[in-house]
Amino acid sequence: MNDTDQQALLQKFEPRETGVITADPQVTEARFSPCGCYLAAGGFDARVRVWDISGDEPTESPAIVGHNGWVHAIVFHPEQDVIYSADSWGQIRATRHDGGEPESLWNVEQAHDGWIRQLDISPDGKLLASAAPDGRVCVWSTADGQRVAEWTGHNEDVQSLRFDPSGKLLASGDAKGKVRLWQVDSGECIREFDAGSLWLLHRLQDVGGVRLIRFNHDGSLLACGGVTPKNGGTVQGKPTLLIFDTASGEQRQSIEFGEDKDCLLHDLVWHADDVLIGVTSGTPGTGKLVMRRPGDEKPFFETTKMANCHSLSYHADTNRLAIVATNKGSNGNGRRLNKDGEYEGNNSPIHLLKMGSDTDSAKTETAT
Amino acid sequence: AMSEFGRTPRINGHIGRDHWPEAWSLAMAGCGLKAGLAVGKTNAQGTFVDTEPYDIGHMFHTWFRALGVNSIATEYNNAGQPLPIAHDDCHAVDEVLA
Repeated sequence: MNDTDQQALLQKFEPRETGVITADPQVTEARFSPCGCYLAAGGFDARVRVWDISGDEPTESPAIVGHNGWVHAIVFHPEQDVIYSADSWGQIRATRHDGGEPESLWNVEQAHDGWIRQLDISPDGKLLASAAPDGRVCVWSTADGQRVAEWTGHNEDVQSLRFDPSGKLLASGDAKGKVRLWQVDSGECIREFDAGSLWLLHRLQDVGGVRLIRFNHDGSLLACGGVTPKNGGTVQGKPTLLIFDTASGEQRQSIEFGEDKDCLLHDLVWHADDVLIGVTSGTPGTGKLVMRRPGDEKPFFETTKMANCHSLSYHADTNRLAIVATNKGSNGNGRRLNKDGEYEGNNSPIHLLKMGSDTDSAKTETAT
Repeated sequence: AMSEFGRTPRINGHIGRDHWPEAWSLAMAGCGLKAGLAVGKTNAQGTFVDTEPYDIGHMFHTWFRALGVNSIATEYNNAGQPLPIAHDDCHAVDEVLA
């Protein structure tokens, strides 16, 4: 990449922080609403918190309650004011939220046996897919929460899933690096991808796995993200994205997003301009926001100002990012009390950033 | 079933918890013990014990008593040197004994 290219990319993508929402208790992930007016975040306190971010300052709306454990996955309907959320006890909920009092539409108490890792919604908004350690990929009608399909075959903790841009295919990835591509209409697994380099068996511990799946804008390429682990325990390894040809299953590239201490690629946006925007998190205090193109030797932008970044959301119309990080000094064994002798909890700073040097950025489509 | 320390109430940046020896719990079952009760509690934050705190010495007194061993009168004989089998400053948790 020459200097001119880099300058052009920075002009379009270099982010500047416009605000921070400090979420206490901590949150797992945050997502923009399709209209860009709201930001929703799943919490470790079993709530889904929602902020109106359309004004100068974020203002919080009533939270969605009814979950148990940790709310670990949230998605918005592409057109309706509905939030779908899932928790670590296996429940999925659908809630109408337009900034006022949330209205529960439906819920499935035991959608899975245990921790639902991820949700995704089809581009037409009709189907919701869920992945969990019970080894099943389930598909639900967004209208009423009826299960329309249940696919088995992973036999492992299913950690990630994604609809392709057409909505006709769904890819799911598991803890041991196996990725299955399903035809949504028939439920047939039409292809498997080998992302085994993202997994390691170390001291009886399964380390890594396929933590995220993304398609490029036309679905011709499928990317699997996680870590190339070197060891279990306190995991060390380079945050990694593997890119496959969707049609053939052939691996095309392996892209690193940092050093061993940066560990896991937690979340990623595949921008329509073929720019990969990712966030990483390693041991407490480490982590980066990284921007790079697949064919380049190194990133054109990265920053370590946000520690332990676990979630990244992109809003195309306003060219904004929302990144869930963790406060500095979040770790600590033993007695850690503040100067007043009180026990301090941790929190999740949600960083709001705007990309590009123009204040009125052009609309850009994204495939994620 | 117990561990040597608990885990921090707060979650660290690695989405895990760190060592916390100030308050944690154990579960036990067997002869001489009551069933189906919980003894003691922490504060609302889960950071410190709000009721009478118990240490491993209390547990040894309790276990020996449950087994019918007098934990105060019985001593180890370390080549002629008497050693307590449970900490001198602790006592059995009467609430859990049948």
